[in-house]
Amino acid sequence: MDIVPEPTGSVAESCYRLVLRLYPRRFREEAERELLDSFRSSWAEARRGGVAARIRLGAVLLFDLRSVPLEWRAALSPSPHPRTGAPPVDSFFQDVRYALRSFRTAPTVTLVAALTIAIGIGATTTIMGVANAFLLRAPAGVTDPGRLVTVHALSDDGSSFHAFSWLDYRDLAATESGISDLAAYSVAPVSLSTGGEPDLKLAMEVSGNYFRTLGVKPGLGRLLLPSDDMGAGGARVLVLSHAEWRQRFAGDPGAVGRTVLLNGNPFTIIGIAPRGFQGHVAALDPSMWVPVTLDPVISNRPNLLESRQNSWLEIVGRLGPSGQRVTAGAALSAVSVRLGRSEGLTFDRRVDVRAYAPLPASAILPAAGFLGILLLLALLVLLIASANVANVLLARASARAREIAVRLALGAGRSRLMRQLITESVALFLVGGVGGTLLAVWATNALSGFHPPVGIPLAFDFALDPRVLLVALAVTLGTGVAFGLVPALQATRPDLVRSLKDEPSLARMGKLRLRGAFVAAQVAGTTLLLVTAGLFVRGLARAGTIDVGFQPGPVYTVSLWMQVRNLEPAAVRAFAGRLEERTAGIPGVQVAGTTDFLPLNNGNQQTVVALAGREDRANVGWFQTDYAAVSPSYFSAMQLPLIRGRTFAPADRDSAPSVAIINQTLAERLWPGEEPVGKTLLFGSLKDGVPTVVVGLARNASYRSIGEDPLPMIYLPFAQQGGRSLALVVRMKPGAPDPAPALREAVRQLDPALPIGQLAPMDQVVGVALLPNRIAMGLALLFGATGLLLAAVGLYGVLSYMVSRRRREIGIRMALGAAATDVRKLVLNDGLRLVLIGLTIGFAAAAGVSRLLRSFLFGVSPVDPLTYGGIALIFAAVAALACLVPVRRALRTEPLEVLRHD
Amino acid sequence: MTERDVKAQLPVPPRTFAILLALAEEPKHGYGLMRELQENPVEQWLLGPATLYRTLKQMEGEGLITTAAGPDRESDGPPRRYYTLTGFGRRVGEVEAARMRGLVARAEQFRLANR
Repeated sequence: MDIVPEPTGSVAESCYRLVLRLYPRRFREEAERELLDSFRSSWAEARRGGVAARIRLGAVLLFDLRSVPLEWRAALSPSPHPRTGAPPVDSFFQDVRYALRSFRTAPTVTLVAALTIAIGIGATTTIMGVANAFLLRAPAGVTDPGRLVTVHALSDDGSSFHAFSWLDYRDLAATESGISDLAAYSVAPVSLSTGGEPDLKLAMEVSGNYFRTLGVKPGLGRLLLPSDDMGAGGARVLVLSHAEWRQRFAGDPGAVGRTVLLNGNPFTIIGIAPRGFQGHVAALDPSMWVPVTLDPVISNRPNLLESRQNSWLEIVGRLGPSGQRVTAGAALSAVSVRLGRSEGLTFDRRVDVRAYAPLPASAILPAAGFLGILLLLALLVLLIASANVANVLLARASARAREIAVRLALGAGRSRLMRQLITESVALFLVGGVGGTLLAVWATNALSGFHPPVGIPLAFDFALDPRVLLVALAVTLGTGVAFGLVPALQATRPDLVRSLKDEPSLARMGKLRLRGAFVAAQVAGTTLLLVTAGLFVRGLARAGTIDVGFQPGPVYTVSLWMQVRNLEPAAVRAFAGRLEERTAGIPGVQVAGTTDFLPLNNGNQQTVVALAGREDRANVGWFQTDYAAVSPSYFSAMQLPLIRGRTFAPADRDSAPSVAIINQTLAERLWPGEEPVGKTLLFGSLKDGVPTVVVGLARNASYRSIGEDPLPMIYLPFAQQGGRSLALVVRMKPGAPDPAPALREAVRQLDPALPIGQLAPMDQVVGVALLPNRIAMGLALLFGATGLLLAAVGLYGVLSYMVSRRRREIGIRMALGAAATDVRKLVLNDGLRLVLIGLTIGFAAAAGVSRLLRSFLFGVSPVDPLTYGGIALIFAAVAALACLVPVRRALRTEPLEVLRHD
Repeated sequence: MTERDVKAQLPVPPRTFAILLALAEEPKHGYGLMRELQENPVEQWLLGPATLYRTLKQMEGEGLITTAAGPDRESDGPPRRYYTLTGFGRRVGEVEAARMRGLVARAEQFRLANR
């Protein structure tokens, strides 16, 4: 059989030919043929050797590049047979030494430049660290995280992700799909006590194979095993987290085997998780892992283990040796679709198997979008700082024009000089990069200690890992080379005669133009930052004025972890009544109400209502809506006005007929254009819903987030439908003292074992919802201010330089009778032109980019004229300030002196 | 070339010595030499083509090796260049090896190496 030779024009060979272009021509002409011959043979062999061999060859060729500088030196050196014994690093260190020496001659400039780079690199690295922790990083303590997958049920349009019921999970886990282990988990707040006061902790309820799936080894004792999935009657065991063990038992190995009270039930500690293992979900900080089959013991919800209706379990899995995500997804989908059909779903419930990510799938996209915006802001700062440094380098190059010219005249190669100048830039960036990394280490540490006021234990760990540091290094080096290249090209453009004569040369005029371009770029970047900051400010201001439908005013909220007390709904209702009564007696309290749902608190609960007689029309007879069970006084405590009908009454109890209050949106959906009060709906479901009479129509309000589109809402009497969770809303009289201690005491007196999840003024709770906006606004303001400062400094530098270069021209003009205003105009024109160019580019970019921010703006237009106009004004002021000194210097020009000088 | 010229070459840089050894057996072309250096059981050299070429040029300049067109050809190009050890090169290799052997003997004497 004929062996067809590979065509010589292969892609790999073309690449290698390109690499060879790096060598001096003399070397190329002499050696190219032989090198290509070697390369062809090596490549042919590497192709046979597979990926590893190709990587190896790549490494060898990369390493081979070290001979490039040697060949250049040989080419430039006068001796025909240069000694090559000198290591190639020599000239590099020489360059570095030279760079450091030149920094020492201008310490302030160097320091400012390095500092600005540090800010840029620090901001970028910090945000990359956060993004890494939320989007990429493998969990600590887990073996081979690359094979971990998460499994989700998809909604009918595939746009949202859903959990599974225990029974569905069991069926999926039994499916042959190429996934070696599928583990289920759910998170539950619990009270944990070792005899004394109970603490509120986070428990992760997991299937017995959870630790095996993740490949976690026990720190002490044993971890949960599949044999622990024994159902509600099984042994009550738990695994404690390393941190909890250290904190509660001071790291005593004797803790294994001891009994603790979990929601009041005795559980035996069978083991301690290894140090550093925090579960596999970012930000969650579980103190213990409990068999999920003990859920009926732990929580007060009905037995979920026997229901297919309740989807409450997330799934994480590990691909087997030959498993593929796509085939696994197909195999699991087949089962899920079949199960979904038998459960009465009207669509194919497909299953999505995706690679492991630290955040739940539903949170990935919003988190990535938000972090993307922050990263963009940080990169802008880096860009501005880099432009600033490039400008400093250019200025220094012009100051050294004579030195460079002399060296060129003496026969120094242009490439050698350029390499030296770029080394200077890279060295400067590296110094700044080290500072920036330290800044990022500090910032990520500070951020890791941040506890958002949300009432569940969260723990962040944004520690920078090698991957982030490597990217930071690459960014530093890349910007260093890129922004060093332009000044180096400019500075070494040979124009010997003029430079040696110390005359302004054409190259220098080019330099001035280049510096102007850098300043314009700074202005553009700063504009983009300031527009972002301004839009966030305007958005937050708008959010503050958005009508949320109720009066957050002096209202305190207390959310209680009823789940951990494991009470019957009737007991919870009775407790709620007693608590509300007691709270109303606290001095300064105007009115107190009870609810099982706090609005604008990062959550929602949904139910279904139906209309009798509309069953025949598919998807018309039932409506999805948010719901809340509230006490009669809730409406007055929230100052949530009723439009018609009555509020709930104490008589609306368990035994009385079911009643409800609905909001305008739900009324419009159920009975368009009709009077809803007095009509009857079915609460719960179409088939066996409870006939419920609408007694009142409430105003629309915001429930999930500020500025949301109006959502349907149904309120039900707490005495009829309450019983799961419990929160108090307490409206204070104006000027009343802080009720927090009294509220805490009231809860403690009624039930000392009941943990308080959150006790905060309503506006603070609402504020949490705006936290991302505030963070983004703060960063954008900080970065924008930094950018503004840098742009002003850059502008000042360019104008000063311009004035000093045009002294003679100005002098002549003045000698010929130019007035002060003419000279002023001359300088101002130059400055304003740069600002105008920058502003135009910045505004154009902002108009495009700010569309991404729409969801943060609460209806403020992305091209909000107030923001843009304000920023233009700020820049006008800054430009005027930056021009002030150069103008004055220009006016002080003595015509005679200038003319005499020649 | 005198003994004095030979001595002037000592100590031979490791990379040069490796090439001397590789060429002691028979003349080789560039790629063959590269393979030999990479797969040497005692000491592997990951030399890229350009670095190797540069070293070879230098050795040629010092009179350690010569080049000549070989018998075989690339698919359609001119014949490959073969590198051959010169007598001087062979002598330098021998003297360097002897020097090394002396060093090893000393090392054994001081129990730095096992006999």
